Formats: sequence, structure tokens, C-alpha cells
Amino acid sequence: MPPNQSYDMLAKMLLIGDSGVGKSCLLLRFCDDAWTPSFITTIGIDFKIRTIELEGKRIKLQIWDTAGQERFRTITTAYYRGAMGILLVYDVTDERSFNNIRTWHSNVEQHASEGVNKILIGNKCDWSDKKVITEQQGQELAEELGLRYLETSAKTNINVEEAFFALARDIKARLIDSAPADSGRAGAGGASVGLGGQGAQEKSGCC
Amino acid sequence: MAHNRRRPKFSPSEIQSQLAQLHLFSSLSSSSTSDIEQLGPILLNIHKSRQQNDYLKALKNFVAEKEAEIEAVCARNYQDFVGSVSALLRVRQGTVSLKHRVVELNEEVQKSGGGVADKKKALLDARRVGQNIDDAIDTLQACLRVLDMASKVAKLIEDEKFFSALRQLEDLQTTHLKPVLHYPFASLMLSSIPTSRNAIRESVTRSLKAWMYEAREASRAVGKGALDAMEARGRRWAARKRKESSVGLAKINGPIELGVSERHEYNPLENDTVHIDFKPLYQCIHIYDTLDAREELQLSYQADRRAQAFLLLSQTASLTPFSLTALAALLEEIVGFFLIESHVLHTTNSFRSEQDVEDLWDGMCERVVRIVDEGLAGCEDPEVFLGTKFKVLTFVQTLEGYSYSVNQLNNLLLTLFERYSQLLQRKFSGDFEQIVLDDDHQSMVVNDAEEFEKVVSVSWLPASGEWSVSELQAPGFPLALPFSQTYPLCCIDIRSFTEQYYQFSEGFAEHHRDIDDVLRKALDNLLIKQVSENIQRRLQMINNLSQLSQIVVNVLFFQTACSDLETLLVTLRATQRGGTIHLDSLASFQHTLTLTQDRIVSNISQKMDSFFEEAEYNWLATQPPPTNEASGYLQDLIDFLSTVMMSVLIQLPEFSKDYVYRGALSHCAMLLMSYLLDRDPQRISDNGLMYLANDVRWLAAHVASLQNERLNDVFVELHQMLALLTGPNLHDFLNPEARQMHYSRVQTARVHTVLTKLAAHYNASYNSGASARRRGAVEDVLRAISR
Repeated sequence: MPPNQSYDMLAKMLLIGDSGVGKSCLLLRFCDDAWTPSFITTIGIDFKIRTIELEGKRIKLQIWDTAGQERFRTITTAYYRGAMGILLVYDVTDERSFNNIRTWHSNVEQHASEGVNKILIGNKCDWSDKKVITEQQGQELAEELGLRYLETSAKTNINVEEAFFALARDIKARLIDSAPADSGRAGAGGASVGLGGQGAQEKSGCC
Repeated sequence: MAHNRRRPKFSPSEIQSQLAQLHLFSSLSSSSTSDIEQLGPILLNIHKSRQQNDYLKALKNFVAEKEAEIEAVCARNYQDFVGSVSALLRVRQGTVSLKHRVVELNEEVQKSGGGVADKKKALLDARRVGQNIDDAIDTLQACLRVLDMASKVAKLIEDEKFFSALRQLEDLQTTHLKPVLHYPFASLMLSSIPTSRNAIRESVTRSLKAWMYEAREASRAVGKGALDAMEARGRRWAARKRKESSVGLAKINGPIELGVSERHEYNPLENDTVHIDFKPLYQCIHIYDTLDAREELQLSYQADRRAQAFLLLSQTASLTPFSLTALAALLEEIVGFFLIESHVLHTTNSFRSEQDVEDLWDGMCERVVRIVDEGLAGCEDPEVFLGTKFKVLTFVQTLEGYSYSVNQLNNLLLTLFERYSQLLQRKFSGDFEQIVLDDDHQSMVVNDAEEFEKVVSVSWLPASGEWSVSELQAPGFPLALPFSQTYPLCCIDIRSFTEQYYQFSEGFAEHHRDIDDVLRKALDNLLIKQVSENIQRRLQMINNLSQLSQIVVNVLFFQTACSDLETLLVTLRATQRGGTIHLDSLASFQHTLTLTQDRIVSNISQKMDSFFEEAEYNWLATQPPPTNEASGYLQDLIDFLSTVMMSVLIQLPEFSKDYVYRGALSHCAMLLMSYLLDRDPQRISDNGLMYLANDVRWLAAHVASLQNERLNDVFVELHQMLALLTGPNLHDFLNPEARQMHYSRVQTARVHTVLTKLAAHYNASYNSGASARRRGAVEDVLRAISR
């Protein structure tokens, strides 16, 4: 039986932001390298998994996609706490979604674990003729809130990898690189380490 | 005549006496007149007796006697003699004059007798002439009567009173001509009677031909009128059917409909626009009957009608390109033609052969069938089918009313119907497929009451419950409907399909009991192949749970639609057979529902698998778990599952949610069980087992907290098994009663597997941590169940 743990770290990430900014599309692009033009509202919550390799470490990303709609707020908020990294997403063509980032950010402050890594994403940057939020504005807000910042396009696959990798790198840096050596599995559910291979069935690492 | 009288014969003595008398008279010669008077009878006697000679002889004798006497006398008496001679001379003179007188008298008598005779003769002649004149007058009168009749006949013929003319001719021939037959004119007349009859015959035949031409000219108008009337009747009847359910089943031309429609009776042969006067035909038949030549007329009429029918068809030999107008014109002609036939058939007392009309009709039907068949070959326009059907149907209904056999045409209608049905199916197949493939599987949003009304009016919704109309619109607008746009769009198509279908079948459905079946099958086919199975195909490409749950909801709506459709079809169906209609698509949707739910389960299971990747059981643990808390991965998993059930699948109805929930939990139980039963780990410690037991206990408690009896037993087997294996009373498994009570779901083989792993651990590990008693129990039970 091959080792059950086909990764060195499980990183839980959370996508938040207004409805329609493209959270699910970012996730679809990142995990399945796919894109769909039809707008499908996320209901409740969903997650996808992709395992990446960072500096020789295999990192399993469990990325949670939340519904942007207000009515699911209670449900989605419950997932803030377990997240190690949070992507705050707005739509560069939608000023409102940009303005709401402050609200999202304060929600994060309120519900997420302390020290959680965050990144500000301005999605749909390919749609230049509709763009209302400049990179400059995004950058300024990110600085103000103390966040990383990237403009992305899930549709044309701009900066999607970079965004997730950047966040993963931050998480890794926070949890592995700066932690004692034996805490590599921190946050992976609290199970003890070292007895991998026993019991758990082999599963595909990525959906 | 008077001359016939026998002449008197006088003897000489009589003559003597007569002459003696005369002698006496002569002595009285002075009075000559009276002497002559006296002489008359004598003369008459002489004349009568024609004894002039005797008289003359007597007279001579008498004269000779007297001369002798005289001589004697003279001799003795000369004087006297001379005196006597002179007396004699006077006598002689007297005699001569008497003789003259007699001659004169005779002449006179002759003269006057001749006049009388002439007159008499003239009289006789006149009498004869008179007689002749009378005779001539009589004859002339007889002849005049005949001539008069003849001229009357001519006049009658002129006035087209042919029957009277024939009667007169008959009279003439049998009675009136006979007495005058010896006149040449009469025989001429007699010989001309057949000619007159012929003339009459020709005349009526001519007028019949003219009539037939007119009838042919008018037959299209007749047909059009009849068809229009039938259409109106059909409309009235359909309206009435809608209004009064009691007549719902009665068909056109049925007794009820006939009764109701009676007051709208329309005479296609005699109305505002058409007027066909059959008099020429009747007259012709009458005349031919009178002439005893009906058969001849029958044959010629039959031939003429045949020719007309042929002409009618040859004008419209084929309808290429096929057009409804052309078809209508043809059908109008045919209807007109056969309405006239029918009228003739029924009003002329077997003048027309029913067989012949039927033959014509059959031929015509065949032709119509072929024309329509060929015309519609390759036609893809449902409207044309619909129009054709309507025309043919009205045609059938019209002529059916006149007792024409319409089987062939009904078959045509059925064929049309089948082709139309196929056409509809082809058309709708594409539509349905497109609708299903285009669906985004997101709940449809309506912004206002109007939109809502639009959607609700076409969609079949449950009569009660959260998906009923009243419940749906309760939250206010904008409103997310439970179904996605596929549903109302399909509903519209189903309705329109059904409608178009019945639009076609309306009216002739009564004749074909299986059309309901054809519709049911077609609808079933569409729903199964194009909706249900396309959804199934679509399913394979969808991973999004909310979309999948949308499909579940949609499918549930489709099931509602199926049920409602079953009811609708019962009410719509043309033939009122009892019983229900069953759509197979209901089962297909049920299958799709199951497939979708299974797909949701497998989708969730896949996600669950990624949680299981984090499971870390220390199967050889030497210490029992420090707390009763369940493994973190399991808590995450159950959290996730609960969230999914609460949010992503929120729109699923309870039973479906339970199905998914149960499926997901069962997947969980199956994975956990596989930990115990898989080849690895080959050894398990009692403490290691405690970790799993902990988790299972927690899971069982969690499921129990859901208070859903349909989920209750998911972990029961696992729970019982772990309770048995980690509990103190392993031997209970061998006690049937205890086993039945506490471990009823535990399978011996599985216990065997785990016990083997435990035993293997005991054997392999120096310090397994197990008591001897425990080892003994494990080995006992293992031995017992190995047997």
C-alpha cells in the first residue's frame, strides 16, 4: 500500500467576496483548468482540491468556495475559522463588489483564526472596457488592509495560478517554515502524525 | 215513275163507241169547245193506249161506212149528198184542226212536261249536291279535329309539355286518326307520329344534357356550400361539446348530433347561391318511361355521369404542387357531384343504379387518397397536414351524411394522422432536446406577478404542498421558482404537442380508437427519449451539486407533469373508454430521479473521500483514545455534509434529501467498514479498534440526533459490530438470544475477519495489552464461528 499521505501539508483556503465576482470560476480554473461562460450561483458551500508542489513540498490545497449571497452568510461564516488562507475577491468591473471588500475583510477579522493569510483579488481584469476599478485602487486598498494583491482573470487564465500559489506560499511560510519540524501537519484535523499508511484507503489526491 | 203504268188497251168496240161519241159530238160541231173538251179523254185514251192506228182504222171504217151511207143517201138524195159532202168536208176540216189541236196540245203537254222533268232533274241534282256537301262537311270536321290535335301536339311540344304531347299522340294514333286514315294526310300523319315521339325524346334528351352540363357547372358551388355548412356544423358541435359535457362523446353524424343540428338544416342543392332544378331530369325520365325506353336513358345517363366524373378527375389529375386550395376545389367538385348523385338516387325511384354510384364513389375515393398521398409525400409542414386533414375530414363527414361509405377515406385520415404524428414527433424531438441541453439548471427567477402567471399557466404544478401555486407565490417578487427554465419550456412544448395532436385528431377521432394510444406513445416517447434520457446524458457532465439538485427538482416536476398529463389525456381522449392512461415516462423519470440522486451521492461521496484521505487510525495503538471525541476529519466531513444538506441541497424535498443523506452516510459507513475488512491492516489492536469505535459511536449519536428514522440505521451494523468487538461480552455473539437482541445486524464473516486481525495482533505482538481472558474470548469465538 502506497503511503496514504501523498502530500506534506494540507492547506485550507477560502474564497469570499460578493456574488458574481467569479469565485467559483477562479476555483474551476485553478483546479480543473476549465472555464464556463454560464453564471451558476453557488449555493451554500463547495470545495475543490488541488495538490501543488512548493519548494519540494507537496501541498494539498483544499479550497472552499462560498456563496456570495447574503442568505448563505451564516453557513459560510462557519468555514472562516478552519481556513488558513483567505482570498478576498472583487470584480474590477463592479465597483460595489470592490467597496464591499471592507465588509468582507471585517468579517474575516471577526470570524477567521488569527494570523490567517489573505490576498486581495481583482478578478475579470481581461474585461478592460468595462473595468471601473483600477489596479491602482486595488493596490491602495490592499495596502490599507495589509493584504497581498493581484488582478486576475479566470476567463483568460491571468494570474490565477499566481494568486493561489502566492497564498499557499504564505501559508506554508507561516505554518511550516517558521514552525517546529514535527508540526508539518498542523491544521490537518488534529490527528496525530507518523502512523500514515494505516487504515485510510487510498484516494485520489485531487478532485 | 208514272210511265210505268200499264197502257190501257181498248178493244175495237170500245174505240167504236168512243168514236161514236165523237161522232155525236161532231154533230154538235158548233159548240166546238165542248166537243174538244170531250175529245180530250179520247185523245188521252188514244195516247195512253197508243192505238192511234186502231183509232185511225176505226175512223177510216167509220168514214167508209159513212161514205157508203152518204153515197146511198146521195144516190137517193143527191141533195142530201151534196149537203152531206159539205158536211163531211166540214167534219174533215174539223178533224184536221182537231188533229192539229191534238198535236198542239201534245206539244204543249210535251213542253210543260219537259220543264217539270227538268226541274225534277235539277231538284235531284241539287239534292245530290246537298248530300255531298253534308258529307264533305262531316269529313272535313273529322279531319279538322285530327289536325287540331296534331297542332295541339306541336304546341305542347313547343311548350315542353312533352308528356301531354305524348298522350295526345297516343290518342291520335289509337283513336282519332283511324276514321280518317283513308286520307293521305292522315296516313302521312300516322307515319310521322314516331318522328314526333323521337323529336320529343330528342328534345328532353337535349334538355337533360343541358341540365347535366348545368349540374356539372354548379356542382362545385353545391360542394362548397355543403362543405361550408358541415364546417359550421362541426364548429357549432364542438362549441356545444365544450359547453355541455353530456354530449361530449357524441360524434358528428351521430344521432344526437343530427337531432341537435336539425334546425340548422341546409340544403346544398337549393339555397341562396345554388339552385339546381331537377325537373329536366325527372321530365326526361318520365318521358323515357312513357316511351318505354328507361333503360336506354339509364345507360346514357350513367355513361354521361361517368364521363363527368372522369373529366372532373382529369382536370385535377394530380395536385402538384400540392396546395390546399387545389385540394379544396377538387373536394368541392366531388362533393357536389355526389350530392347530386345522392339526390338523384333518392328521388328517381331506382332510375340510378346504386351499384354504379358506388363504383364511381369508390373510384373517386381511391383517386383522392392517391392525390393526397402523393401530394403530401415529403411535406414537412404540420399546417399543411392539419389543413388537409380538416378538408378531408369535412369531406368525409359531409358525404357520410349521405350514406357514402367512407372507410377508404378514414384510412387515409389515419395514415395522415400517423404521418402527422411522426412529423410532430420529429419537430418536437429537436425542441425538447434543445431545451434540455440549453438548461443552466438554475432555479428560474420571475420578477413580477405577470411573469409568474405566465409560467404558472403553462406549467403543471402539484395541487398542494410547498410547490403549489399559492405556496410558490407567497414570498413575493422577485421570486426564485423551484424548477429551472427547462420545466416550463417543456410544459409549453408538451401542451402544444398535445394540442396540435388533438387539433389534428379532432372530429375523426371517433373512428379510430387507437389514436389516444398513438398520442400516449408519442408523448411517452418524447418524454422518455428527449427529456428524461437527455437529462440522464446531461447528468454525466454536471458536477455541481446545486445543479444536480436542480435536476432532481426538475425531474420531480416532470413526474408531476406526467401524472397531470395522465389525467389530462383521460379528459382529452377522443374515445371514452373507461380506465386510466398510464405514461411509461413516469417510470423513466423515476429512473432519472434515482440516477440523479445517485449522482449527487457519488459526487458528495467523492468529496467525502478527500476527507477520508486525512483519516489516520493507529490500528496498533497501545493506549486507548484519550477522549471520546471523534476524529477531526470525521467532524469536518460531517460538518461539510450537514452544510451541503442544509444549503446546497436545500431545495430537495425531504425524501430526496434523505435519500442523498442516507447514501452519503452509507458511503461513510462503507468506508469505515472497509477499514476493518480490507486486507490491510492485517493486525489490529484492541486499543486501535477503540479509536474507530469512538468515531462510530459519535457518528451513530450524530445520526440519532438528526431524528430521522430513514437515516437511523446507517451505522447500526458498524456500531453493533464495534460494540461487540470492543465490549466485554464477546461470547454473547455465540448466544443466539443475546445476539438477536444486541447484534442482530452483525455478520459472522465480518466478525471473523476482525477477530482474525485481533488474534493476529495478539500473536505477533509480545505486548498486545490484551488480557488472557480477552485473548481467550477472541480465540473461543473465532473458533466457534470458524466451524
